[in-house]
Amino acid sequence: MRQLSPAAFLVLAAFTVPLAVELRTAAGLFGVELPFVAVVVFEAGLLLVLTTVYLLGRLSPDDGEAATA
Amino acid sequence: MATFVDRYPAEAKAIQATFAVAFVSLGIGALFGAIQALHRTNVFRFMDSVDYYTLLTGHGVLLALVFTIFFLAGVFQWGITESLDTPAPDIRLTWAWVGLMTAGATFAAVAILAGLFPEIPMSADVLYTFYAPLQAHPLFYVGLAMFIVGTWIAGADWFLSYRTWRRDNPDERIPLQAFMVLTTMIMWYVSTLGVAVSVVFFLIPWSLGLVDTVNSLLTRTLFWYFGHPVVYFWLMPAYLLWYTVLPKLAGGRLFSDPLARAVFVLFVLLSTPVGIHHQYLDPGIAEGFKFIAMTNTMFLLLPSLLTAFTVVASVEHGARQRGGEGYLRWLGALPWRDPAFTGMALAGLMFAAGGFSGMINAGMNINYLVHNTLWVPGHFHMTVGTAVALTFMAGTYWLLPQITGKAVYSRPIGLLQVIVWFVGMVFMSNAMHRGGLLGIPRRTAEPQYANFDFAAAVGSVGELRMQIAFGGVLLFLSVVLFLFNVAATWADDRVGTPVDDAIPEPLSPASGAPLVLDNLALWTLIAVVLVVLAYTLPILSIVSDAGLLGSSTGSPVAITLEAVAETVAAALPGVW
Amino acid sequence: MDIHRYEKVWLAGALLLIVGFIATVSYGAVGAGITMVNDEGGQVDHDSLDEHPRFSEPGTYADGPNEYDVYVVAYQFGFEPGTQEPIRVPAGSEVTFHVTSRDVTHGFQVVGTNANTMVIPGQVSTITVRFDEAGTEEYGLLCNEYCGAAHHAMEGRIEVVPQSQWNESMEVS
Repeated sequence: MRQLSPAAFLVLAAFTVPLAVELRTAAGLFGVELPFVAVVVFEAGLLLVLTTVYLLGRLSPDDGEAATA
Repeated sequence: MATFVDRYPAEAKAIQATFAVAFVSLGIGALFGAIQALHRTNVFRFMDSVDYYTLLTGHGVLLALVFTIFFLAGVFQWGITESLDTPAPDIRLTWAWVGLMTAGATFAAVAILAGLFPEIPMSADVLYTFYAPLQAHPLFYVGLAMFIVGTWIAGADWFLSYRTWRRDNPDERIPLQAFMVLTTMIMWYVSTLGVAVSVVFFLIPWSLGLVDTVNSLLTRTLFWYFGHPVVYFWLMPAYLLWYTVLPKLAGGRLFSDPLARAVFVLFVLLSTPVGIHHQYLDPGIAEGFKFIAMTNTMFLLLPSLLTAFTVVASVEHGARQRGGEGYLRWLGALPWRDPAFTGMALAGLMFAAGGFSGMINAGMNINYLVHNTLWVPGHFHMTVGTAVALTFMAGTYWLLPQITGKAVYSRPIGLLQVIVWFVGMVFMSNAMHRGGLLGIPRRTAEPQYANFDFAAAVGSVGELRMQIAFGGVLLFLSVVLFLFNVAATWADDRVGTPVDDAIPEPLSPASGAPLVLDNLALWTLIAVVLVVLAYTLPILSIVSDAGLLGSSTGSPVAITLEAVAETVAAALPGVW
Repeated sequence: MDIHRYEKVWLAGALLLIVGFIATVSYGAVGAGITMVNDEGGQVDHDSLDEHPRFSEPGTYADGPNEYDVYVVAYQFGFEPGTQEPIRVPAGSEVTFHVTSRDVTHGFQVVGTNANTMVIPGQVSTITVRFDEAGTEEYGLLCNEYCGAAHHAMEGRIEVVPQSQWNESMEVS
């Protein structure tokens, strides 16, 4: 798994916020009304995926990649 | 190792002063913003709603005029000095405009804040747009006039630097940063004319009692003559940082100097003859003038869209220099650890969204749905509030070492700060946009009404309120972190850390730019012609309809609870 | 001037977008017939509205079959009519609002709709609105331009009355 620097992780985590928040607006365009808790769940899911990618990158980095500070 | 403060210590001191005023205003303005966010959403109210409007006036003036323009003054002084490699022609002149701007801003701030103390017979609860017949204390208008004149002198100072340089370099292209400073100031001179006329010839005499009445629609139109180009006065220093500094931060070079020049020329030409798009719903202005303002505004999208291309291309170039590969994977190669880079990148990203909501505002008839609703602050908190403010904060992390010689106190805090800003703004402006579409008004202390409820399309109004309050608090925390970082940096002693302040040459150099782009006189002339074409007829029509001095006597804004209670009691027996 | 190929594509796309926006707005103006608030309302003397033939008695005036004129005066801090008694219009009618101010600049917005205009003392804002409702409907009315210390208390109601229940006592004669 490619390595993510801690800073890149933080920035991507920040980026999940508009994704989660706007998901509800986008769903509304198709007539799907999602409750607020859906945003929370979606955000938690995105962060989970991101954290997994981050940890895997640390624990089993791709060959030839040096650990970044 | 020598950096700007070593080469130009006197200019660096002046820049430090402008930054100091900018950051103090930022802190006060941000505090007011947090209070507003909690008050209007009914999450936490500790003051009377009358005072909300005092804080709102302070928030607008301190953030949108004082913080932004003082920061611009610092960046431009740095940019012109550095790119022309020429000291200020007379440092006393430089301090004169710094002093005048500061005095003017202080007077205006005093007039505004006095509104919080009923014992002081002075107030300026007129908001940042100060529409007549609402009338502020004369000190407010005088302060604003002094502030504007101070900026004019700053521009003269920079043109004098250019003249000195030109004598020694008769055949060279204007260096890019200097070009950006000069074109921005040309735009500024053209655009401040309207509000200067309004304030000096109408509002100051009126507030002093020298004339009895003003023509409300005329002064409003003269304000908006200025009110649109001022947003470019905020944006252009941010663009200067995006074009000349961001590529370097990304590890690369500016993609194209000629296109950057063209963008700034477009702003000189198109920024001012569009102001009527803020008056789409005004009576007294024929639809034809509004239509012309609309088409001009749509073309004004062009320089910003071009900027998007050049900035992304330059950043991608930097990423590939750092070893990035692939269609999207190069994003990972960028220096996300650097708060200066990340702040500007996030600001640029958010600007794209803010630009789109601005396109909606510009769509003349669509404007019916969003005018004066919460959508509008949603839009401008993403543009001036993020593209500009966040870029300025991010730029500070890069500039501060050069003008003080000291390393930034904490990079991790800087990174956290810019990210918290971005997240806070996502929550707040998303809710503001959605709230505006429901009809929730802007500039209102208690948008909770007795006769009706707002009907939410997705989710509930209560959620929107929570989002605004939450986002607003995050933004305030971000400012606290930023100011802490800056103060700690300033307070530290200099330890001679090397500063990497070198800006590489662009990929497409200035020599490839057509000479006509540097013809500042030509662009000034065309700008003036376009403004005359856009504004002569509407203003003549407004004056012939209601007279130069109109018939609006002053309506000083009530600042006492008793006065408010009386007025409300008299006006609303049916509701209560 | 050397312009990269991608940049030319982007420039072309940007210009297309801009022209497209102008086209859609023009369609709204000319095709869908959405008129902007303009100068046709004329000027009034905001200090002597009680001498004006219509604004002295604001309210709903019949103007023709299913056409009405509603004269509204905005003031600190309410609408007349609108605040102390609701504005009444019949369902299925075309209503032209004529709005002016007695004192400072206000806003006039029918909440949840696109009926929205600035109200400037000395000027009259006119907007023509279709009320297509079948039955009774109520709309909120609010001022969306800061007009002083109690701006947030400035509100009102519009009642859309079914045709069958409309009678001439609801009009100003």
